[in-house]
Amino acid sequence: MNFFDADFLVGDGPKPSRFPTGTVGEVLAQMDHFGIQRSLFRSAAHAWSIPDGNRLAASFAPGEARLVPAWFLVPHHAGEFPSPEELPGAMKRAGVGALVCDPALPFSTRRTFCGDLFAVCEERRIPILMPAPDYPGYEKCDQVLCEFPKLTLVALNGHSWGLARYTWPLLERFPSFHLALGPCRVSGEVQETVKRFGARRLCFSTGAPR
Amino acid sequence: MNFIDLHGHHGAYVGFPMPRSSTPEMIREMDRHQIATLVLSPHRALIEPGSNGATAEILREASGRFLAYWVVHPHGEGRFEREIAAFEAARALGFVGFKFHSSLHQYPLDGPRFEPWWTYADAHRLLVLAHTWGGDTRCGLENCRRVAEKWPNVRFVLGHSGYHEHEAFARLAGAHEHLYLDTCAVGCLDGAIEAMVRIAGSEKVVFGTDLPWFDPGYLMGAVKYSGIREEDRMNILRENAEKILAPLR
Repeated sequence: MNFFDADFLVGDGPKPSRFPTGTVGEVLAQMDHFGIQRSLFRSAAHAWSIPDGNRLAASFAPGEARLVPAWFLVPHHAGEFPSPEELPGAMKRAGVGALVCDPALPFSTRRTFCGDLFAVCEERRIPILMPAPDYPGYEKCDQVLCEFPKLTLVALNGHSWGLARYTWPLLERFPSFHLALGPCRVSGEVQETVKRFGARRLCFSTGAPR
Repeated sequence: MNFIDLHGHHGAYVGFPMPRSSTPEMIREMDRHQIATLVLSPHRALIEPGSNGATAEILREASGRFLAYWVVHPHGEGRFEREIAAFEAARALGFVGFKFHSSLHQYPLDGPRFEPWWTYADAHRLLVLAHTWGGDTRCGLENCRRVAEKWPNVRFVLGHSGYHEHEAFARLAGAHEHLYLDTCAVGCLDGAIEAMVRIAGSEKVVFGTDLPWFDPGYLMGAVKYSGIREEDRMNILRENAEKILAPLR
């Protein structure tokens, strides 16, 4: 069985890790240890600069088919991110597979700020990954989906315990909502979610090396 | 089917839905993961004082697949005198010892209200599972150290191995013959199982899942990928618990 990891962090962060992921070789070795064939990755550099993080993500492993970079999305108005018109082409040139929209970062995901970007992502079916480290993260997903109900939105779950009260209503209401499981670990939760909504709505994600 | 899980619960829980929390569902999960025996404390018994009697019904329903801890509540005068006779009467149903949850019950593990329970457990060499957590002043390292030194005959499992402080707890377990670490929750921390085995030895680590909180596969995967030897894995997943439970069944 080949795994595709929807959430892998590369580069050195502020905390030391037992599994270094500063180079392509280190990342691939880590993936091999756990039998992961391909990974969608974000760069640790995003923690200090979105434009630099996006540039480093795109240049981290060009030509390495096992590693697919993701960019962090921020409003384009301040010149930190491609405009809605430029975005699809820029992503294609850089080999970027998805965008990460992190509500913890200091910007608003409301229509005035990100609406034009979300609209083009909705139209072009560009996946948006939204970290949901706790239950309120799912309210953010709901807020965005209520405005852009056809957006391919993947919640990057970071919460350990039961999600059904939050994720099942989203899965039921929005056919384009997906869930990357992360540390979802409650006995039977994955099986019951698959039974109700099908395995196509779920992704495997590790958040490695965290 | 031969693994043994020393840290489980049972029944619905207020925090979130638990799809595998009934007796038949839990046994199906155990079968799926080759767990022969689970030692548990039901959520109801943890929350509602005086409800250990309901655990007996769960033991009967499980036909030998479950053993149980008698949950010790700290509050209420004369609780030990009232309950110990009931515990003795129910032991044959599958009660193998006591469960303390000092964080939930907001009372220190080494506090005076628990002393008669520890003394009884020591005299009868019972199994005790206590919730332990790094930095918690009610069930942290020093609370556990005092208990371990005062009642050395208790087979004392440090639930969660002092999560976040598992290396210090491993040193404590390594220094006391009847003190054990468990994999419950702490096994998810990168490198924790390997560190506990390195410091305390695999003979001092037992398997615990918190079922129905955790899918057992999650912690089995943590043991499998921890990088320890096969012999160490089997000590954790079965051998140690078998030795602990043998005189108590």
